Amino acid sequence: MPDPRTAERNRTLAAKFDWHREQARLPLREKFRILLELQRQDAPILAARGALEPWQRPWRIEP
Amino acid sequence: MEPRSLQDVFRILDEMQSEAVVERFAVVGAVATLFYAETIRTYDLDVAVLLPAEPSPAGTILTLRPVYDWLRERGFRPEREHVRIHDVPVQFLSGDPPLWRDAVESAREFDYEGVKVPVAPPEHLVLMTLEAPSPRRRERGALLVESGAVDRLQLGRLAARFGFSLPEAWRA
Repeated sequence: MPDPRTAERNRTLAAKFDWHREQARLPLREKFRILLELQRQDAPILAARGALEPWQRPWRIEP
Repeated sequence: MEPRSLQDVFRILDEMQSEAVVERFAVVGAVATLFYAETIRTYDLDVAVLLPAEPSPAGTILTLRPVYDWLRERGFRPEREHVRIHDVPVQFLSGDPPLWRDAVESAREFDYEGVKVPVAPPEHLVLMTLEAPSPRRRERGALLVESGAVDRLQLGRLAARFGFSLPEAWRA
């Protein structure tokens, strides 16, 4: 019988794997909406660090 | 003015091909990865292009100038190595290297809100991440492999054909 901690770890990893697969199966428009949101969240952090290239700014566009 | 969408960006790329400015093109890089795997952060759209075969004077280097000229005529101006199309920085890259040419020629066609979008196959995208490895690229390659979109046998065949050594975990 597997160690309960190992079994728990395997369940957690399997759940993560499933979550990533589900993200991969999202409709394209939804994936692009997520991308635009990530850009909006990330840009101020990069800008504050002075690490933002001139072309690295959120796209002002709809998904 | 109505807000622009990514559909408009892809439409411009499609027009560039239908007007024979480029022979063929394919989306590559992080945006291409998004078509097969989960979303990863990126700030530009990479596009590999094959230019129409035209005789060029001996010794001259083929450039992407026709692409830039065509886009400039439509009001899209270059900014360093990108051209901003409806606010999306698009980087055009030559599809001449053998792996890239094969990626463009075997691109998969997606439909994005009614617009055709050729995207490099996932196996080619994985190998491209090995061309100039960096932690971010390696992560992108792993994401593609784990997404379930990659045919590992095909990946192995392409790796052998184009001279890449695959990490053990990516092999069939």
